[in-house]
Amino acid sequence: MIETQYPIEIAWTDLEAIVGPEYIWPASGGDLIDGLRPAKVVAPGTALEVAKVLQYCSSAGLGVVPRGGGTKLGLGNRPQKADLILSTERLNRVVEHVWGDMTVIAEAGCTIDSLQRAIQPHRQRLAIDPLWPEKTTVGGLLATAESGTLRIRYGAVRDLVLGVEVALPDGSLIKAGGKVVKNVAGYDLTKLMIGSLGTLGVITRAAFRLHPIPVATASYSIKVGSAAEASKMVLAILASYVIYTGLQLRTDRADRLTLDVRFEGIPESLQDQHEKLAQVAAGCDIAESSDDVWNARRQLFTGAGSSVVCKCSVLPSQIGALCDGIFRQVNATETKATIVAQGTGLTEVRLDAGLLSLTKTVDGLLSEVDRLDGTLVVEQCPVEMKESLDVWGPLKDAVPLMQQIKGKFDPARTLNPGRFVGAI
Amino acid sequence: MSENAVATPVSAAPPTNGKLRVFDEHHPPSADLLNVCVHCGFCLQTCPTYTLWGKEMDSPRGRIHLIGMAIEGEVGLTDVYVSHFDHCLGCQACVTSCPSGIKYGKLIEAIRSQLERIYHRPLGERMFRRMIAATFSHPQRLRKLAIALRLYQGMGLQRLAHALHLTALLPEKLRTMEQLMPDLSHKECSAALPPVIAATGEKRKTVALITGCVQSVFKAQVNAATARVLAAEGCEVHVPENQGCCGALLLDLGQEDEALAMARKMIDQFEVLKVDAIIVNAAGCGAILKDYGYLLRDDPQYRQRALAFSAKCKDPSEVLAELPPRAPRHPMAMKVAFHDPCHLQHAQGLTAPPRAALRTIPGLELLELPESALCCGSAGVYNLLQPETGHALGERKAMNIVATQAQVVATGNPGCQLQIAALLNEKGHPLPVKHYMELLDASISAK
Amino acid sequence: MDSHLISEFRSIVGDAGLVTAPEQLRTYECDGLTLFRVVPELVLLPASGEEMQAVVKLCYRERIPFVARGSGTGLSGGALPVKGGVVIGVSRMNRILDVDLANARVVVEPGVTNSAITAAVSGCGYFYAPDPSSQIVCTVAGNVAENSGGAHCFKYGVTTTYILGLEVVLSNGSLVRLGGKTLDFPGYDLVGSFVGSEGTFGIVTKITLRIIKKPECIQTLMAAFNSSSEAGQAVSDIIASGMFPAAMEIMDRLALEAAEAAVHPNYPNCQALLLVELDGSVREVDRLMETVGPICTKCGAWELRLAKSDAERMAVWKGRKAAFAAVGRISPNYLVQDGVIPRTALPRVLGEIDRLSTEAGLRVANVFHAGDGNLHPLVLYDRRIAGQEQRAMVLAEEILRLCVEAGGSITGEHGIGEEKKHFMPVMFSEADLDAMQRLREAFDPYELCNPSKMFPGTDTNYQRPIAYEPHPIEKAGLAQRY
Repeated sequence: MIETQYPIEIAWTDLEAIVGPEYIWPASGGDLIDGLRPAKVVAPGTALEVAKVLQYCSSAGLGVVPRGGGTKLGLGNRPQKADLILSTERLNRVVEHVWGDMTVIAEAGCTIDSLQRAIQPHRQRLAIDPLWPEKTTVGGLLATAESGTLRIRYGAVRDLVLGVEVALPDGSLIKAGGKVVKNVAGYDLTKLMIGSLGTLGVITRAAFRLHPIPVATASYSIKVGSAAEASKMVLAILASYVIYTGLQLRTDRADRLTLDVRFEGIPESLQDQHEKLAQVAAGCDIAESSDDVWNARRQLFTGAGSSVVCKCSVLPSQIGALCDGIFRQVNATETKATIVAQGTGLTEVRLDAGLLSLTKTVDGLLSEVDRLDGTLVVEQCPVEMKESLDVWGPLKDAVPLMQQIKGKFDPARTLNPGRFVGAI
Repeated sequence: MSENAVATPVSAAPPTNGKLRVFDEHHPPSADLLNVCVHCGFCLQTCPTYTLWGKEMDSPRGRIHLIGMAIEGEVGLTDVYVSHFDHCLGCQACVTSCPSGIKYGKLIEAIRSQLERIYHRPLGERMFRRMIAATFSHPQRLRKLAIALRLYQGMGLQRLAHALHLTALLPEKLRTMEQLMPDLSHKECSAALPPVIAATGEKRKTVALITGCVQSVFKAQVNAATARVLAAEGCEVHVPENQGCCGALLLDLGQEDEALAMARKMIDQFEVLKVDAIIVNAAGCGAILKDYGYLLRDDPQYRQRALAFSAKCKDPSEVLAELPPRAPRHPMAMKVAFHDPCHLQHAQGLTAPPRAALRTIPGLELLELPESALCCGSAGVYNLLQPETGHALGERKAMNIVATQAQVVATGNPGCQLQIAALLNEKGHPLPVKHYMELLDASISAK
Repeated sequence: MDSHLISEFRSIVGDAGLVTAPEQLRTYECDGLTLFRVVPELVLLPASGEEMQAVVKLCYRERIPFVARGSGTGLSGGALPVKGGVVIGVSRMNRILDVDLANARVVVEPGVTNSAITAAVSGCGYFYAPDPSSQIVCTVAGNVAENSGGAHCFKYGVTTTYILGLEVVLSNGSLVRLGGKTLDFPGYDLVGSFVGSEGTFGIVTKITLRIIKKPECIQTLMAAFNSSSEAGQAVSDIIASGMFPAAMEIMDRLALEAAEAAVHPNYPNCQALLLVELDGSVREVDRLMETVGPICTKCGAWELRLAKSDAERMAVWKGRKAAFAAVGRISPNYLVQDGVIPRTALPRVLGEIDRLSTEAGLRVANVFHAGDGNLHPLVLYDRRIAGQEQRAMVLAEEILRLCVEAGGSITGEHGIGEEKKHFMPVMFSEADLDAMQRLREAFDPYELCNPSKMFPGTDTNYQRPIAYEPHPIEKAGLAQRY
């Protein structure tokens, strides 16, 4: 592990004046970002304070890493500068839950679990299931645009956010969108901010659209003997009248894969869906399974050490070919692969091996994915690999435009410099 | 005004307020009719010329905009201006798709009459239009033409001309006419009908049959079939001799006075007959016949009589809809694509009755055409005046028909029959193109 | 415009793609909003992406601003030309390029109409979900520009939910691919930023979109009420019960009159009609309909009618979709607004609109997407009566302010365009607008793409408002206006 301390003399008193002395403290071993140790952690108490902190850091030329639950600090390339962690932990309220409109507004530091608990009394939920809802915050969820198992039915983070409030590096606090479901006034800056990894601004609050908590759920698992068969089954389900709210493929070997399907609704509905599934998967062994299967993604990220997690995006029809390609690569390099793919084509794979093998495998995977016209992002890897690897994959032709946008919103490169695509 | 008088063209009045006076005083396009348009654009996608070219000024909304500009005196009748109205087929698909209920048919009628009076066309064009008006609206002259054409075909001259590609040497408009020429070798082609055809069994209705111009000369078998089917269903069918023309083609050409003269003759001839309905099996004619009340609105002597006359005019399928089928139909197992003539689906608003009539034939599978609202390109004499556009639309219609894998095409208008048959031939997919009454006739007489 | 330049354009698009005569250019002076008119210098209709790019490059070289146009059905003046600029229409780029049913993706050229996409895939059991009322004629490019919604977006989402990739020509003539067929392209969500940018970021040459499977069963219920607020209450109760209908629409008496006259869907004769559409599996829909009926009755519905067959349903929706334009039958002129309010504010806001319209002495027909609070008040007036058009515009603006006060938005679907740009400060602070401008500068630093739209303070360059009243001296024929 590489630890670096920045010997920069900063006027911390200025920052203390903004947030109050008790809310700025030295960073410790638990605050590392890819081996870099920032000098301080700052925890503003209001959105305005966030904006003022950013303004200060911009003019002082500091590098700021915004942090919610800290679950994805390892995502992205190594930051070029990380002087300060801006924590949203104190911005943790659920501001307003208008259950009649099925909307909720929450501050950036509110965890997803607290949000769900707050809206549950009216039998409503936010239809997103991140890996660690107990730690992931609203801000973090939006900044990383994490994609879970509910996406295939309810949409991505971008489809469920109605509006955001964002603190920009120049000190302004802006709002985009609103709190109503239909809104096309002005540009959709909300979409720009979602998935931007905190490189354009720090989200301070967000408005979500909600869904009713289903009356009942049921999950089933189907075992198949090859990736080709799995692909066929996925496409058959997608083309049928089966109304799934989760469709997932799990495997760690090319000859044994498990397809999970989830249903939600009134009991008559679940019965109906099960029958339809049985027709589509005629001749296969369909077993009822527990809700736990939907946490399979978590297993990909647990445990430190020499492992890599990649997120590949291909067309649903290519999931089988992707799995075959992955196993082809890992067999050549004696790597262990664990795959969890969603019916949307978003596939996460964990690779376990020594550093050299990992590097070779990732290279091989990049060409497999390229052949399938998809994309690959390395979500987690040993820091050493980041010396020679761009985790975001090969650059596409929209990158210059992205760099322009970065230049307009964060000219001083205050926020997460170097972490994002094209070293933004 | 006597029926031979022609209105004197009124020259543009001297400008007042810096604006032009564009139209003359005889029924200029009405601002009231125009103001119904809210510029929503729903008419664009069913307009044949917009579908082909994607240009706003060749869409109904654009044309309405142009008319408005002229009414306001902001633009004169330039060649460019007039061209967009010449491009208009008058198919009235826009009337069907307009949610505001615009009476576009009335507007294009008004414009065409105005242009005929006050716009100066080049000599060649004027002569061609005069020739069409002179020939097509006079059944006697068409008959003489048919004799000549029959010789041309019967003596093998047509085959020779095609083999030697001589027709390519013809000017475009004549070449189109040559292509559209029907096969006149059918012996029934010009057989005359008896003056009265008795009803089979108990008489349910008394009707008169309008024989038409192009229909009676080139598609006389359609009239025969119509008469037979109606008779089989218990109608006594009267077929007056020496019928004239309904005036539709003349109105299309903007020759309003001549058209009105034809209308008066038609009314004179038919109103003396005591019939329940006057049958029109050519959709293009049916549309204008049903509108005589509007056409003759200025004529105190004819207005009421015209309304009474129009009220009796019916497409054969409308009459059949009122009569529960009595004549047994023999099965005809075939796939039939029904092509809606513009003047039946849009101008007359009839889509269900002809289909209902065909569905009484057991074994017949009725297929719907893609882009069914789109004109086949015949539109009266449009395919002669604008051959390229007419051809492009005919081609599109032919390909849409081929795509359904139909074995037979059924329709309700002679112009459509000729156009579609010619284009199917040209595309290498010759198919029988029949009037729906011909199919009913075949089913009832088991031919 | 200089004749050499016109020749250069002609060499790119040919005569088929060029409109030059003054009388022809006049037909492009407005879109579905006729209140503002500007005649463009030229209209270009490229037939391919290559022609489009060449045209834009030429505009860039000469620094000519351009406005993109689909079918010109927009209701906020988004396709209103810019003085001294050209119009680039996509109507000739209307091919469907690729249909991939297995992956539910379709690639189209920008001029394809919204309903043509559904028509192409419906035989195989799919449809394109965003269904604006003008769908039979509006283009997908227009939908992308405005982020169009439609009646079914309550359940299914708006246009931006369905656009996966765009090929765009930027104002400097460069071609850039945003997104693609697969999900989650690394980097900023430029596709999401582009959708709804109202033609100010560039012109689209290719669109990759998502289609979805048609539900097994769809049923539409019509419920007749004595007032819009009762109907609105039913909507709230349906949502509170945990159901998620595919669409919920309310039409008031005036709108019903117009729609009936236009399309004859045979609606019940009532003060307010609620349309509820449920879809899903057969069993589910039957079961849910059993619950929806009683909820409506409890709120005061005195008649319930169920449309089960496709034909019946189509007639019901045809009436709803024709409602705007059909209003032309009951009023010489109208202004349609597009405000959004939180659904819980519906009863109060409807009451307020009633009060405001009575004060203004004008009728207001109401059609709205009750499910998501998107109102379409149609302010009816007669421009020939002195002062009515002014009063109508004032009333329309008051309604918008009302929506913002209630926590909503000034536009749910139609966009800002020309019509509401001076209203932006009512909804957004200077900092908000500044942030938007920065994004615009990143896409179009040369200010060539639809430059006068969306933001206040840009040149209000329409040549003449339609409500032109001649001066008494003019009327007396003693003077002329130049």
